[in-house]
Amino acid sequence: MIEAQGLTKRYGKKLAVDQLSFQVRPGTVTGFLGPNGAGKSTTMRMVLGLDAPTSGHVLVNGRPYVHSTAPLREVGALLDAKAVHGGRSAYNHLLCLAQSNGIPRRRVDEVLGLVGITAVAKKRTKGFSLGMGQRLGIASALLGDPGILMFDEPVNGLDPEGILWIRNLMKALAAEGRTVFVSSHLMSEMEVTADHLIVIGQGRLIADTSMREFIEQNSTAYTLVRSPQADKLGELLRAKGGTVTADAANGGALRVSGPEPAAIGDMAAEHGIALHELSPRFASLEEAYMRLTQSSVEYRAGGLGALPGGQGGPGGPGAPGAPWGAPQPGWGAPQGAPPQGWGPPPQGAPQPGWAPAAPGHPYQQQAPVAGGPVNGSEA
Amino acid sequence: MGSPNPAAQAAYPQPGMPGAPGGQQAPQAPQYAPVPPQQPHAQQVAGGGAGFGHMVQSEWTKIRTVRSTMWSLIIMAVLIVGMAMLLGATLSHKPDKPDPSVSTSLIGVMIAQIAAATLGVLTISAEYTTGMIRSTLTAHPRRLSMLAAKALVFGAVMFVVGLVTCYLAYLIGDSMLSRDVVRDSSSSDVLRGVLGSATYLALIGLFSLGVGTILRHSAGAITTVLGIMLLPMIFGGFIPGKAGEWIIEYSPMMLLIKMIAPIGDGEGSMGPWPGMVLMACYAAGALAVGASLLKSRDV
Repeated sequence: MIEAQGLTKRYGKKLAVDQLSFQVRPGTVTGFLGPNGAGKSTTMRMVLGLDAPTSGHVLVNGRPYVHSTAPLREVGALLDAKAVHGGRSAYNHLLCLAQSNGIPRRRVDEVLGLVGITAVAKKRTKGFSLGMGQRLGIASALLGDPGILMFDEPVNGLDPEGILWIRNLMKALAAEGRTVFVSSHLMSEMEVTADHLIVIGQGRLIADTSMREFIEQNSTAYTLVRSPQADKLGELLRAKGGTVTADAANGGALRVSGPEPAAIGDMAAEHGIALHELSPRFASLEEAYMRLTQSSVEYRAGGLGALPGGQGGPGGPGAPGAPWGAPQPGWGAPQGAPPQGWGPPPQGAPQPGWAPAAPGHPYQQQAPVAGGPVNGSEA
Repeated sequence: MGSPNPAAQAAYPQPGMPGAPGGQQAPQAPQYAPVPPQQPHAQQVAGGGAGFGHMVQSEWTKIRTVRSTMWSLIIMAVLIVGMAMLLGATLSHKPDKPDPSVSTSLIGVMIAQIAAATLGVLTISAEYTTGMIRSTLTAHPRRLSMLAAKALVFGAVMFVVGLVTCYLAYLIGDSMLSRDVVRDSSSSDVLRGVLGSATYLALIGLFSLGVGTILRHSAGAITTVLGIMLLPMIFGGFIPGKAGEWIIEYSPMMLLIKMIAPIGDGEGSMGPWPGMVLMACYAAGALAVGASLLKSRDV
């Protein structure tokens, strides 16, 4: 359990973190989302007592982290994969951390095996690839078998397999009842990992909501309609109770939510309106997130409802068979943005998150299977 | 939130694995029974907390597992013993002068202190330049205890290595110098020279550790320490009057010279051991400033 209360950090004139209050609870993966420079890393450093807040405070299990009597057993953190002495071997790096907390030697071997770097354990970390460094960082986070885990941008620079591995690991850790707090600047990554979202922008809390709620509010199905008589069609659709907005990104096109594409087509035919395009679309969470954070100055905590495009439409994701469940790789950013590296699941490993819809919510955790934390070791 | 998935638990059996730490603590059923929200996660890994003793052990592992430590120590030892051999081979004892076996044998300490200072700086500054300090302080957030453990381990290593190499240097130098004369170095000279040199090496190293903690930057801190070490001896003579004498008299290098060279204690100048107390004060001062900055600064 991590609780921040009015957490503020000022560097000279720049307010890096501004009156941030939130709670990170056990048993879930909490995504900490915000653009680069939003204050995520600073916040995480303050949780660990590496940086002192200018004002406010943050408690770990009810007290400041610096007062912890067994720090590694309380919190495991991967803040920076480069936080190692390059001249020391992976084994010795973990050993000195373990010893500082009275953790037995054999635990070092265990975590090395767990993250799959046993084969290079005796090598100096200077020569490690980014992925190996990241795995070493995760090994050190797991050393004390802590109840709270914090990962700062854990998937940065990882290959698809590594990304999948970390994602499954985080879910498994949360499923064991641990608190998992993971930062990212990519909505698309959080979509498939987090159960709960804390979104910050310019150091301020923008949203603190469950993933499901966020999806319901921000990712609605709509129909893109292009017609030479757009105005007329728009009026007709509004009269039928549809929501019609102009789609700025597709000049002159309409975004229609409410009526099904077939109904729109029928209506256009009835009134003799020519249609140039009629296509079902999904607003991406990435877009919603961008809107959210771009205007982070105006939107304060709880400002979600005021979002443009934030209307909860029909066909919400809660309904079985809702479009979200469709096996549609990269649906987070369907509008051309390529899936960020985790596209095709390696070796056909089922992808938790956007596998074909399980009954109920597609984001419900599914079992990390092959490629999970244990089997995933490539050593 | 928190509908934990049993399958996920099965896929992550690590903590409950046979032989996993904690096995002794609580012979286990499923260890990671889903913890209800709001409840702290049960600790499973055996072992104590993060006490000072643990930190000392950790710092010892740190210091012995990087090559730069070994190289610095080897260079230090080679300089001390090597100078004794070199001078022992080239000088010969003059019967009309005081017996030089101690001062000649230990002259290498004056150069070797550079290695000691470098190692002292690197012990802390390497943590900052590599980023290791964040891992260290995440694992052990009590910063002053971390610095104290570092100082203790490093000081002990310097003292022990200094003692062994200085004594070795004395034995070699003395035997080479005394080929043709009977040596008459009194045992108190030997004791003072060897013990004093080892103490000095530990203290100049700790002073450097303090400077490294203050500056957090390897090159800057090493340069600063070298300046403090060498400049007073070079420029002290150019400063007129008492000030110049004073600068030389209380400079670390002079405090070392008092230890290894048989300069008389008279003339109101500071004796060798009081000099070492002053040196300890320098080290303590640097460490104290470093500690207060360490405590207050962000990492």
